[in-house]
Parts: sequence; C-alpha cells; structure tokens
Amino acid sequence: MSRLRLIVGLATSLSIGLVVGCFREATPAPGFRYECSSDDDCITPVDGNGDPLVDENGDPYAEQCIAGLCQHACSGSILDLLSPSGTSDCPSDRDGYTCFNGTCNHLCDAADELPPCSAPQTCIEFTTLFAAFGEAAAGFEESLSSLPQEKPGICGILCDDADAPACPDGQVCLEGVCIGFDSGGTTGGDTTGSTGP
Amino acid sequence: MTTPPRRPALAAIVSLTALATACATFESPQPRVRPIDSRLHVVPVLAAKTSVETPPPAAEAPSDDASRPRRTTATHAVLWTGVVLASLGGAGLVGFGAAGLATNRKLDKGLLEEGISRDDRQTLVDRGETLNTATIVSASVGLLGALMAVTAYGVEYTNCGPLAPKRRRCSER
Repeated sequence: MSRLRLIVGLATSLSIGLVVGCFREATPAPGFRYECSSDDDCITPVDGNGDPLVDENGDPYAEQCIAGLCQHACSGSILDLLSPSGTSDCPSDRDGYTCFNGTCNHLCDAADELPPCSAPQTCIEFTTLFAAFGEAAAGFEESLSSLPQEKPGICGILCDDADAPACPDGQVCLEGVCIGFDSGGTTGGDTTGSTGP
Repeated sequence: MTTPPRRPALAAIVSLTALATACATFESPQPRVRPIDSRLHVVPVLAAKTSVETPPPAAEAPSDDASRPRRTTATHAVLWTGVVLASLGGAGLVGFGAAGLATNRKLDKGLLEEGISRDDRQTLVDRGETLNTATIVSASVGLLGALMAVTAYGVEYTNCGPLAPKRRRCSER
C-alpha cells in the first residue's frame, strides 16, 4: 500500500506542479515603457490588423528612444489635459495618452503599490503638479476629482530634473513643467482623448 | 490340461494393456497427481485422484512472501516502466516548472518594477513558452507513467502478486 500512496502522491504533485509552474506573461501597467539605447530598439505601433498607426496627416507614429525609454514625442502641454476642444498628437490609446513635457504619457495612480511608471519616469501627482501654478490651476481640482484614480497623476519626468529631455520648441520649463506662452498659456491645441485606464 | 496354454496368452494381454496404459500416464497433464494406492499404478484411471480428492496445490496459495515464487511477468514490466516514467515526468515537471517560474518572476520584475527592453522581454517570453511546453510534456509522461503503475499495481494486488504487499487473505483464494 505504501507504493500506492507514493504513486498517488506523485500524481498529485504532478497536478499541483503543472498549475503552479506554468509560465504566464504578466500584463504591464499602461505607463510601462520599454528600455532602449537607440531609436532602433523601438518600434512603429500597429493596430489590431497589423497596420501602422497614423496621425491626422496620415504619417505613421514612431517611437523614439527618449531618456532611455521608447516613447512618442509630442509638442502639447499638460495644461491642455482638460481642454474640451483639444486634440492630441499622441497615438489613440484606450488607456489615454497625454502630452507632458514633450512625450506622450499615461495617467497613473500614485497610490499604487507597484510603481506604475517605468524608471526614470515617476507618477507625478496632479495636486503637486498644479500647486505650483496657484490660482491659475484652481479650476483643475474639480475636474481631477472625477478621475478614477485615488491619487491621479501622470507618468513623466519633471523638466527641471537633471535627466529630463529638453522641452519642445516654444516651451519653457516652469516649476518642472514645460509651458508654452504663445497660445493662451500652452503650446498648440494638443491634449488627450481620454482620461486614463 | 487346457488351462496352462491360456495362461501365457492372458499374461501377454495384461502386460500389453499395462504397458499401453502406463505410457498414457506419462502424458497426463497433471503431474502432481498421486496414486491412492501404489499398487494401483497399473490402472492409471483408478490411481488418479479426482479433483475433490486432491487438495489444492500449495504453490498457488503462498502463506508468505518468502515462500511465494518470484515470477517476472508483463505486469511487473508495466509496473516498473510506469514508475520510471512517473519519476522522469515528475522530475521534469519540477525542473521545468521551477525554471518557468523563475523566468516568470524575472519577466514580472522587468515589466512591473525594474524595467526591461523589448528584446529582453521577447527572449524571456520565448524561453517561458518553451519551458511551458516541456512542463506539459513532462506532466503528460508522468501522468501516463502513474496510470500505468497504478493499473499494474492493481492487477498485482488483485491477483495476490508478489509485488503487492499481502493485505488480503490470498491463501483462501
């Protein structure tokens, strides 16, 4: 009978091992960006049919290696985030892209246990971000409360950081945020089409 | 004196009959049959005991493992083949499963914490899928071996075979 128990135990171990030991690929957070050392390490995004994603002009979007991460460059401003008439020069994405400091970034929740953004990016809370603008950004607080995140923020690098890329043309770095002053406080009309995951 | 001439003829007939029937006993399929009376060996039909009279052979009802003959049968081969396959499958399952788990954790760490390049991610995904396949094959082999071993063990147990420990009253069967 001891042999029978051994065999039954072995079969049970097989079953448990099969369930536990299987490789399952994790789904990264929307704010995840692949590391890179050059533009060749990055790709041209494609849709579900394998066709390249194109912008309003029909030009394909292409990732660039910016700050060691594969990202999409853009010329909008974070202050366009809540502009109802704004359009984005970032690829459409169900998780929401917002142009922040020259790159297309996802919204994030600073309350997450795991870092929602890829280093050297961090999840910068909007309350912290807009605090520097005082009353000029007071209207954003009400809009931020409608976001699903507990502590809503955006993945990115403050432009006054040593590793931060330069602000887009026509923008200056103010309190860590690239701001353009040629069209009502922002550059262009770029903003996101959705508000995050 | 008519009697004496008939005696040699009768003796010859009896001798021939005894010789013929005695040869027949050599072809008997029951070698364990013992004559009831040694004097009846000249008449094999009478010498042989019936099945009711003959006690069950001791060799078919072993009283313990030592007295039981060690026989190698196909059941034994299937049993040990199953055990070997189950062991190999189990070892492969544990080994490949552990490697897959390590690959999984490495990929998770890269995707969720430390960062990873697209090429490194693809390498880890390919490795993980290969290990998955190896794990599934190992599990299948192990399961097949376990089934073979359990089935063969069941046959041994049912038939009071020497590989199954005696828990049943095999001597009464």
